[in-house]
Amino acid sequence: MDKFIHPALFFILGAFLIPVLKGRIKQIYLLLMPAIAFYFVITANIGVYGEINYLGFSVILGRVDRLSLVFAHVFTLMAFIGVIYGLHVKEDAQHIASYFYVGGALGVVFAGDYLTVFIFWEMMAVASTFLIWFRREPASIKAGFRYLLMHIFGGLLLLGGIFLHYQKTGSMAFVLIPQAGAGLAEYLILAGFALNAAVFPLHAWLPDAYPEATVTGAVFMCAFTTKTAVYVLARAFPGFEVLAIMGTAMTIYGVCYATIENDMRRILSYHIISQVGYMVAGVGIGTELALNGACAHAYAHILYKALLFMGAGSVLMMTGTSKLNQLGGLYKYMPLTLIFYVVGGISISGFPLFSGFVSKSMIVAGAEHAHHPVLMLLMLLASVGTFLSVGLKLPYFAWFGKDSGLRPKEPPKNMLWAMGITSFLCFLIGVYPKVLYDLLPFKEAAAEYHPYALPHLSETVQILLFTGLGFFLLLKRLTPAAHINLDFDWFYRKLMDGFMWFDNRFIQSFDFGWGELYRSLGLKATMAFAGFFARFDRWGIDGVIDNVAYGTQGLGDQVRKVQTGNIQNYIAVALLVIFVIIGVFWFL
Amino acid sequence: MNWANPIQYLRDHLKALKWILYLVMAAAIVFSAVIPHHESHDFFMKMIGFPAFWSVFGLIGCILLIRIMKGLAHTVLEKKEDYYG
Repeated sequence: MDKFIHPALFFILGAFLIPVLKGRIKQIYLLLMPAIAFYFVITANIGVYGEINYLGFSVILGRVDRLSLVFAHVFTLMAFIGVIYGLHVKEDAQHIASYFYVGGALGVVFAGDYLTVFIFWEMMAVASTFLIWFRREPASIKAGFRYLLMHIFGGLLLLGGIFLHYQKTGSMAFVLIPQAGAGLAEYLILAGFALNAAVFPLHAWLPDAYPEATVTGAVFMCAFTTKTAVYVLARAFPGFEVLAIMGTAMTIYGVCYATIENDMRRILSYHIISQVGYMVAGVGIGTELALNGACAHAYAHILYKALLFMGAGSVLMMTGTSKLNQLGGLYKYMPLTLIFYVVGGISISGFPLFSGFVSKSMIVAGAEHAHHPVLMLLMLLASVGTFLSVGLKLPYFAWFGKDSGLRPKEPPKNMLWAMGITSFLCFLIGVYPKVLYDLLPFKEAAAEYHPYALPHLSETVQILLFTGLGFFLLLKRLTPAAHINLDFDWFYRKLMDGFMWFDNRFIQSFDFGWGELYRSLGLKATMAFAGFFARFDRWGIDGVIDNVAYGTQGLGDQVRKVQTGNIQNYIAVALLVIFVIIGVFWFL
Repeated sequence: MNWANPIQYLRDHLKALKWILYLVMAAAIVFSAVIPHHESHDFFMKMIGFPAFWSVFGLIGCILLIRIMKGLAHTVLEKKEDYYG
């Protein structure tokens, strides 16, 4: 195809038709849009499309290359799966919000300049906030506001960076930034991107907000925001050392909190931080192998993390709780959900034959080949924690453990189908990694990498088996209890309480006093002024205007007398005028 | 088909399952000893090529992670669910 049809169009424009359609036709339509978008992604040719000159800026809507295509590929695929999972949702607005959210992510992925990136970036932030609010719990409303404020803050960092960068270089082009030339502007952009990637210490919004989102909304959210951020980091900041270090720190930080959390979806949220850490580290290492690994891991992660969120969401929907201390013994009632969840769990843990094994190892190998042994060991330690908390602790206490007395049913068929399809994809990528490797940005480096090498197999199997042993040895210590854990959101949540106290005590009383003063003094003065101007208007301005009108009317009456309708009179008047003009010229 | 049945079957044979897993662990250690490794003078590469290195790494890593984080949770991080109101 020579033309490039932007896949975001099907989501952004497609959203407007959702409220018009009904019943089965709407469901087919909801599935059809991501399917068409997916078709246009796989048939797209590499090139630059949709370049518009706007206010002197060159706006590029469609830069298509291998890096943007791999992300667009998994985004449209994930949108399809997410729609299946949410097909039972009756509320149109939820579908519209997720459509705009996906459209925003695709817009960023194909953007070739910072203005376009910024606009779609904000679209994602706003659309995803609604996916939190639609749960309609008081906690969700509050968490949604915190989420939105954090993302607006991140957007402002980004915007400030973009302006400074433009001032410095005179270009809005969204391209690779070399580490040597990076100054304040570039690091502001980096910070804006890093906030969306949940890079420590800008990460607290993620485990704060995602567990409060709707069951279906969380499945969308875990896929798009952080992975779009990984994409923009990979586009602009490959090889930045700070990312390699921060990314590795994230891998550990996420699993540490996941080990002690009680809420299923919060455990999974902390694991997003950990898993995105691998990708950020891959971008920071910046070799072809590591960048391929970051993309492969983003691809695989979107699928299995969505699968895990779908499983946990099913339990939440059918039992009404996602807290491990209230769950247990569900394997008799939700066995299929358990099986699908476990597929996600062993995929994220990197079991051989499942997708994590072929994607995570690429980044770890990237660290090893680039001679970062410490980073490599820490990443493998994080994978110990991954299997421990997501692969063992969560399913053990939700589906086994003590009998909670809950007797839920399996979730609706569409949700089971979505989980089944995703499970199959995780398995497919694991046994046939070529389907994923062929999509990666550096083709040769991807073809050279072989995940099923003996040392790697030996390493993985040992780590997983002995992590399992450690888990069962210390099982009693992990028994979940009704607690929450402090994280960096403490700063803005508790500081905000302090601010509110200050506001109540001082600012509000000042405001109140000022209001009183204004009402008694200001308002009277304003009324007096208004009265004066009303009179001036009536007698002064209106008088002048009215008199001009009367004068015009009078003149018109005089002119009308000349217009008799007889041709001889007009000729006489015309001749008279000509004589007057000639006379004037003659005498002057 | 009731998908709970195979899971129930595994639960009813936990003891056998345990022994199978112990055997697999032993096999994994033997496997790590016999596969070829890079001949390298680099200390790090030598270390990770040592038989059963990753088994020890996994076990100790898991125990440390649980011990340290549970300790931190009990002393500093843990708060009641209504802490933020």
